[in-house]
Amino acid sequence: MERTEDFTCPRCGNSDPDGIGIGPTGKPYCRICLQYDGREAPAFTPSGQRIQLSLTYPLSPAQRTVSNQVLAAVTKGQPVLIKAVTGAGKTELVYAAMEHFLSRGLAVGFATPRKDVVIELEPRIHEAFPMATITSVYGEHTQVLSADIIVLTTHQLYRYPNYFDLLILDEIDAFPYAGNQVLKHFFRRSVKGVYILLSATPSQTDLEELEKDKGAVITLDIRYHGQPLPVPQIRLYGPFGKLDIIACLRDFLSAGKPCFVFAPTISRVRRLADLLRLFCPGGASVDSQDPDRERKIADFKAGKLSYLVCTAVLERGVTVRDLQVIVADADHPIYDAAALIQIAGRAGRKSGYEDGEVIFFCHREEPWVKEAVSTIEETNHHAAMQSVPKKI
Amino acid sequence: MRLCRACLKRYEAGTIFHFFDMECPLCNTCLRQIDHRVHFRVADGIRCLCLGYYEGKMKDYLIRYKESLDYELRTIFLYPYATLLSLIFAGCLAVWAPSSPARIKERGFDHMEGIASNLNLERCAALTKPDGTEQKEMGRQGRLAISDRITLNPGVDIAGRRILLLDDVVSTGATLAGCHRALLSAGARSIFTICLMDNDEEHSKKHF
Repeated sequence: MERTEDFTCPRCGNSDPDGIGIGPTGKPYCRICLQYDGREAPAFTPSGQRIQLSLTYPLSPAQRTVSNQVLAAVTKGQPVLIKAVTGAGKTELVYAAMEHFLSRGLAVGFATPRKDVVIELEPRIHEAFPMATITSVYGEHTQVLSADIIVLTTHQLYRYPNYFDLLILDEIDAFPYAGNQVLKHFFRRSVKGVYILLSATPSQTDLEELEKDKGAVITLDIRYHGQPLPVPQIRLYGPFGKLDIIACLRDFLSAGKPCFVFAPTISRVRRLADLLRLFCPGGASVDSQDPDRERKIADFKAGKLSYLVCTAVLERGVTVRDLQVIVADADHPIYDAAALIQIAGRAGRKSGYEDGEVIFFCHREEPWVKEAVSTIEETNHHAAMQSVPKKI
Repeated sequence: MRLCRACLKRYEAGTIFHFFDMECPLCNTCLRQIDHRVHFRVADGIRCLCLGYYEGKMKDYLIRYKESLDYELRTIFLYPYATLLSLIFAGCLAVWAPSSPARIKERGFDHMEGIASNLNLERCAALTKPDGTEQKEMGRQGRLAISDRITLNPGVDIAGRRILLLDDVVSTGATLAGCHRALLSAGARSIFTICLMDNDEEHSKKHF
């Protein structure tokens, strides 16, 4: 029998003996990447169309500058991390680089950790590149694996070893990609050419790893519409805790504004939704275990629901007009500053409705709550100081 | 610190199971996932003891074991009943519902044999079923047709033996009926049937 200590998984690079089992024949096998078994994509063949970018709306001046910087870097083969505030229009920043690769018949991928984001992103990218074939790949949706542009979740990257000439990875700090060594390994394995990372709140390790690859960090501090980010208000609970949330939510609803209420855990989401239903009709609860989740989100966007009580599943990628945000228990330890900044970034994204309200309810002011608020204030300050974004 | 076989995390022993059983494969959290709704069910005329229902976390683990071929998981399914069953059925011959030879070759192991190996009983791969009989996609009619094709392996002598028959999931009971027929016609004295999980339509209707 071989020793499990000496075994390294050839597929995911795992060498932790805890994640290695002994198979029926006495040979060691990796238990970490077992769930990633499936069809691998066939070799890339470009569709041969002449692919051109056709945006129906103009880029803001700040976006255009950053977009050109990104294009210049990736054509040199240098990886890029774009650090842009929430609602800056991160996706549009990479279109120029995508066009550059697509027009040369090279493989382009757009990966993100969240399934909901993939579903929302696919039509948007198709709109920008109407001539290109595009496919989305995520759990239970893996029929078509190859196209000019592949939009996929990070969990599906194992199907594309050494495949992408340009791979864009959105929301690098999001669960489940953040801190998952297996997914990180699959990401590195699937990049053949150059990669672009997008994030609003990159962690220190992300920056260090980029440093090793001699990558460039490009920042964009202004939102698409040029207005500052809404600064969250911290409110301490009064003696009757939940009443404050109800009062606050009723204010928003009577003004006719849709609202997200974030709660830390699934059970708390369901309890809070039950309570709020008594006082504010027309809402629903959304969490990752909910089979109706996609329908409820669609209903909310269509205006059929007036508010959603949700876990952090909706913390990214969702854009709703004139949205207000309430975070119940922002002092819960599952949140960190990055998550709170993302949540605060839901508000005021659409032009014409730039001033959303964000309210953090806490029992006490924990350091990460204060850090989130001060980071947003700092970013706004930066944006005000420099009208044109500067390369660090 | 012990290693949980199911969730692959290190944990501090914290329950009575860990105190008495140094080999306990599961951590405190995963022990709580075990479905303890042990019940009898009569399916297709066969009375079988089901250890739980085919749902929740244990269903995921069974799929990971059977389909993703995580062989190390074989110890968790009869836990914590294996010791008790070995005592109650001492002297019995453990037999399990067969997979087709092609499927066994594809997996590299017989998944039911792995589960039965937790019992401290005499074991025998007595039954076999022909290739091309995957049950998952079939309706009730198809399953009934297969059950007739379960046969005893040549050279197996079970005449006069008491049998403990094991299966992983019981849906219609057709497989179990087929196994019973084959075993009885070979002269088995008595058969007691145990299923790990009950995939009963009535039950799933009741709860959803």
